[in-house]
Amino acid sequence: MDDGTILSITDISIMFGGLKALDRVTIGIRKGEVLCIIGPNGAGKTTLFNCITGFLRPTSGSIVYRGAVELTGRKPHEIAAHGIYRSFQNLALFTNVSVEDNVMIGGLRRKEFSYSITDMLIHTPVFRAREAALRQEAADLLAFVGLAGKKDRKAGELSYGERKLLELARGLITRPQLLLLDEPAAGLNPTEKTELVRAIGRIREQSINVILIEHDMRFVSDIANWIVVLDYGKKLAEGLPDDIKKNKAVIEAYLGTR
Amino acid sequence: MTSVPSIRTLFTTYVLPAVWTAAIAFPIMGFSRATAAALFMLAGIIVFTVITRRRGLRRPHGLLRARLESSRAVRHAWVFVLAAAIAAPLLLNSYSLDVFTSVLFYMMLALGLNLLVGDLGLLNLGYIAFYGIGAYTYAILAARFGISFWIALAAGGAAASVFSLIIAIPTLRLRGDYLAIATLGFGEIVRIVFNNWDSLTNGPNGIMNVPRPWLPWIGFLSGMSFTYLVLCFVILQVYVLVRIKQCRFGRYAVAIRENERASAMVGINTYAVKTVYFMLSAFFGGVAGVLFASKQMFVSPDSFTFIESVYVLAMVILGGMGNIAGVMLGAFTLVVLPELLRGFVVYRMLIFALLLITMMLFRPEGLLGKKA
Amino acid sequence: MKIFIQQVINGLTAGSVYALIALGYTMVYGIIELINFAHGEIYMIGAYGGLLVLALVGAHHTSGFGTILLAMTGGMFLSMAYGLSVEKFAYKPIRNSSRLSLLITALGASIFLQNFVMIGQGASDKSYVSLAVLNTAFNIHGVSVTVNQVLIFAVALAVMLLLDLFVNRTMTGWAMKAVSQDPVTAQLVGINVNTVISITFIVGSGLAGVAGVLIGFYYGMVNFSIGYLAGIKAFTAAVLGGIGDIRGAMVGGLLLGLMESLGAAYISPDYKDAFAFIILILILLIKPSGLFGKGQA
Repeated sequence: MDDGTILSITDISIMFGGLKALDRVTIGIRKGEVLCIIGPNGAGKTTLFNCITGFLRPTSGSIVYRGAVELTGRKPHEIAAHGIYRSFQNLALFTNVSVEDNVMIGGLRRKEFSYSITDMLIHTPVFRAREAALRQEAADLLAFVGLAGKKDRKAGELSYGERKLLELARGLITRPQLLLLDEPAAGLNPTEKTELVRAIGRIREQSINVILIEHDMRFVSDIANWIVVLDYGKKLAEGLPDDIKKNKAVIEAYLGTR
Repeated sequence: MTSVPSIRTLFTTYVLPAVWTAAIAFPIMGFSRATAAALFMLAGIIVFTVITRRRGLRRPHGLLRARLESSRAVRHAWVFVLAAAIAAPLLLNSYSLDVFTSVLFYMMLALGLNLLVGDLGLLNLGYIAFYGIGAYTYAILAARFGISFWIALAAGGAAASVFSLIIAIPTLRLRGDYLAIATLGFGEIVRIVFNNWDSLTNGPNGIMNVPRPWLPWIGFLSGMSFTYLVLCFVILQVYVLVRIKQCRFGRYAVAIRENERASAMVGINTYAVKTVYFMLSAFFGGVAGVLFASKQMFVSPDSFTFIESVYVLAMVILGGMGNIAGVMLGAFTLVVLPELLRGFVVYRMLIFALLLITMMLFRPEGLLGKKA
Repeated sequence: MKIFIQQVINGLTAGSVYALIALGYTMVYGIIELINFAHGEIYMIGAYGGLLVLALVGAHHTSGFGTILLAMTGGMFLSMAYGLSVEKFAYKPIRNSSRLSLLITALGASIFLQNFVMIGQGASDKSYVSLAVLNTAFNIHGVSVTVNQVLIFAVALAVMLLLDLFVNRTMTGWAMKAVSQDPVTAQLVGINVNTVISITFIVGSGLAGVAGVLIGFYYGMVNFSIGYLAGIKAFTAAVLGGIGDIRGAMVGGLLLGLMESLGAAYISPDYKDAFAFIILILILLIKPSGLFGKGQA
């Protein structure tokens, strides 16, 4: 079954009241791919993310991770434990906590930073070493996204773009194998966008798979190598960025000429 | 900058509320007290307007906190308080010693409740039930079955924890204010059971002849030696709580309070963390209850009423939610202040209620709490 | 069977009172999502209001229904005044704070009112005059129904019908519904949200005041502490019927009264007060949206 497919979404549907928010959607993500999901507002993109990460349970269909793990019906923290991290469209940071702590909290669940109750009660060398290692990694990641100078600020004091980068750094410290980014470029200025494109490029080099939701077609063609178009909960088309740009159905859906 | 307010505004902001207060207070309180209430209302409004004009409704950092901020000052303060607490029992007369012991009991309770209310933002209105369960466990085991203090102490803490698990599993799924009401309900049920399960608890008459704690070489602890025992427990509890705050587990709580979705996404099992906090909080309550029963040498349902839960909650709120030193200050203030205001004993609860309301209005984060 | 019917009658009497108080909880929750802890105390103040009117008119054993009506009106107005004051002085200034802050303020208001009345009226029970008209009992095949019970039931029914008309047929009622649906939009279409909230408190408090006077006559006495338990039970009734739902509160109150009265008769009278709490918890756990609620709470 392991044919290099990281995530296979098969025939998932979800109903809200009589409305089909997702209607038999099937998507496969291969190893090393940056997949981009586009579509008009209300097409079901974020709903799809919510299904993958366990915040919603699809009415039918299956989501299989690495050919072996069924994700539907699992809780978000269990899914996170498999190395899947997502960012949220309208940000989900620990607002009143320092930037550094935000990232450190992301790494708390990793084995190499854990310690026993005794270590914690009497602050043994093990405790000190692991705390220091976690702090160091947080510092490295903050440097990676360009926030090293702001580690003592509260997350809520950062600009919108900085917060998005912080959310990304917090995700990276979990050592994800699959990264789901919900409109990462929305609200960023051109410089921040370039920074983000570069960061995602480097993330890809570390063989982390990325799925992102995006509106900005230019941004999308810069980084994605496969695009899925959703419309009214259905998969409208999929293909290489250049093909999608020329696809008639897609253009119609976006311009609303139906 | 400030314009002179018109007569109309003066009337609606000051005169009208004062006259209104007098009018509605009169049927209940009579003429002289109603006048006093009106004057009080007037004073309150003046203070309120002055404060809100000066710095908007929320004020940033208190002077006290700014000074306590630097870690050296904090360390000095802790050492000083610890020294004072150790010296105190030697210097106090028996009445003051009683008050001091009472402060220690409430510190244990307030610190325990703070784990939920302060650290996780979960309101538990039935916390006193755990205190009661600890106390009754000890009373029954020691007075009926002659089981030794130290074993019964562990049993009391464990019983409270186990009971809290029964409560936590279903209720933690509920939304904030529903959780508060459900815990209130559980607390009341526990008290009603104490009151009616005659064969086990001896009903409203309570259990008498509860033995004091016993230590080798010292014998039964009473008076000063008992106070020192409780002090040891408080110190131990503070130590553990400080350590929890500094470790992974403390950060889980911060994360959950700040953003539950994001916590789940970084792999934190929020439900499990909350459950463990609930049990730990109950454990501290249970241990305090055991000590309380062994001090009183008597337990009855009257000690575990809803108002006691509110009282402990007020200590957490007054001192500063989530702040260990603040919560201890809150417990100290709310036990000692009423003792100093003995002449106003009738007005005690009234003042206490006003305190709750004013705190929420001006400083919901508490005296020493961080602004959240 | 006789015992059963007798308990049903007693249960419906207590239930009518719970329903009257529950309406206040449910209306306030519906509009500002606050569990108004002080509402039980508003009911207690109503009972004292009735007492004061009775003293003022010099009511005695043979006084008639006019006196009762006067007492109910007095209790109602006093409760309204206090309900409005609590809203204006305690809740309004912090309406935009966290729910935790609001709930704690409500708790503070409840304790304040209790002690306020205790200071003014004393800690001991005060008795209502025992009226001959109310104590007349009909005996039907061994089941006794007093005029007092009929009165409670009738007043509760009448008041609820009026409330239903008020909410569903008047502009103010529509405005209340609009605010509870969506306060921001309500404001945009020109509804004065502050006024609507105040009216909600006044109406809810008035109903509690009437309930206070009715219970004063029924039990023959009042005490500053009666609000706590009655408040919790009425809140349970509101949750039972689906909080925020006015008709639900009525049904919830009657149901709770029945369950409590039958539980006391057939299970154990010692645990009478625990039934309400158990029902409350069960409902919160199994169906927090209430028996008739639709969505998830």
